Amino acid sequence: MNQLHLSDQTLQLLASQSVQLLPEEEAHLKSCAQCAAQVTAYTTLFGELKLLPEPHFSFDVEALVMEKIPVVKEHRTDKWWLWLPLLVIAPAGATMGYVFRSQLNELFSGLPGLEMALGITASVCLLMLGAYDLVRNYNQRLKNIENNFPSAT
Amino acid sequence: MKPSDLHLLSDLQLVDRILGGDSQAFRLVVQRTERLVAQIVGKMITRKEDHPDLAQEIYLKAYRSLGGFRFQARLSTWIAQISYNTCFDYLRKKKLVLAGDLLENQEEEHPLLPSAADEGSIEKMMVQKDRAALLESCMQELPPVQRTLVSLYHQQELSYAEICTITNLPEGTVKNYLFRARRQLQTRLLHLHKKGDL
Ligand SMILES: [Zn+2]
Repeated sequence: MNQLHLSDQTLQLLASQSVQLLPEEEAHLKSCAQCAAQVTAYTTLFGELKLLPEPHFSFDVEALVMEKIPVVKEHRTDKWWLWLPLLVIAPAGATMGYVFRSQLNELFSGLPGLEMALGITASVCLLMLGAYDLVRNYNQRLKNIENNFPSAT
Repeated sequence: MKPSDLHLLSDLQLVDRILGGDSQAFRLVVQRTERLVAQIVGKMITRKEDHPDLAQEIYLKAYRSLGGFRFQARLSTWIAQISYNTCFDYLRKKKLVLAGDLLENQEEEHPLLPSAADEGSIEKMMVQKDRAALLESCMQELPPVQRTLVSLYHQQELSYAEICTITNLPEGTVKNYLFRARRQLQTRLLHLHKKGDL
């Protein structure tokens, strides 16, 4: 019999899956009770490891986590408040325009059509940029709050 | 969609719903991954008092960074990765043993010496011939990372690729750690077997 035992790595592989052994290794395994016993011991060990009780949380992880989730969500769903100033400003602007329509007519009557169009476009663009900046700042602040969320719990 | 239909959702549909503000979809993610997260936290961190905080931190991290999830792995694997990293950071902060140093010392210098587990409890378990409890006790002697790898591979039956994704370790390292951990378990069991004639 070849006295050189199989490596521990080979024995573990033999116990866990089918391994292509070299002819001399195969011959050794057939004639060596010690190596065969080691393979059996590893096979038993792997079987026992599989059957070990699985760790589980001794508390209700779902409740623990979910009680925090709506708090974060609340901030996200709060975004509709951003549209509230617009709801106030738009009718107010329209009312002002209607009330002061004659003065406005007088003010802009001297202006050619092109300049008028440019002026209106620029005003709309400025308003949109302002609104975009407002939303971006809000999101950034929200993100900061959420990043610090665990410490706030 | 009825709440019972939520269970039919794929990872992609679930993430989509959560990002759309559906908290019930996230509840389902917690239910689906709880066992795997408990396995990792339970094996990495032996101090059970810290488990609630860690579990909460893991899921809140997952919830907050869900927008960055790119579906390169399964959602459960991604949450397992967050669990592993969170536990790893916890151990690093507490300066607890992480790598295989404990394992190597025991194997190379005192291969057959009983170590961390106290002899009294081992004797007691040997009298009871409770091999599962004995094996569990031997598992506790392994360093946290090896203990986790053994449980992910043998209990959760994850592939090497999935374990590598979760732990961010190269496949060679995972295989090597697994090999050494199993040898240590075998050696310890053999020693106790001889000692107690189990
Ligand atoms: Zn042999």
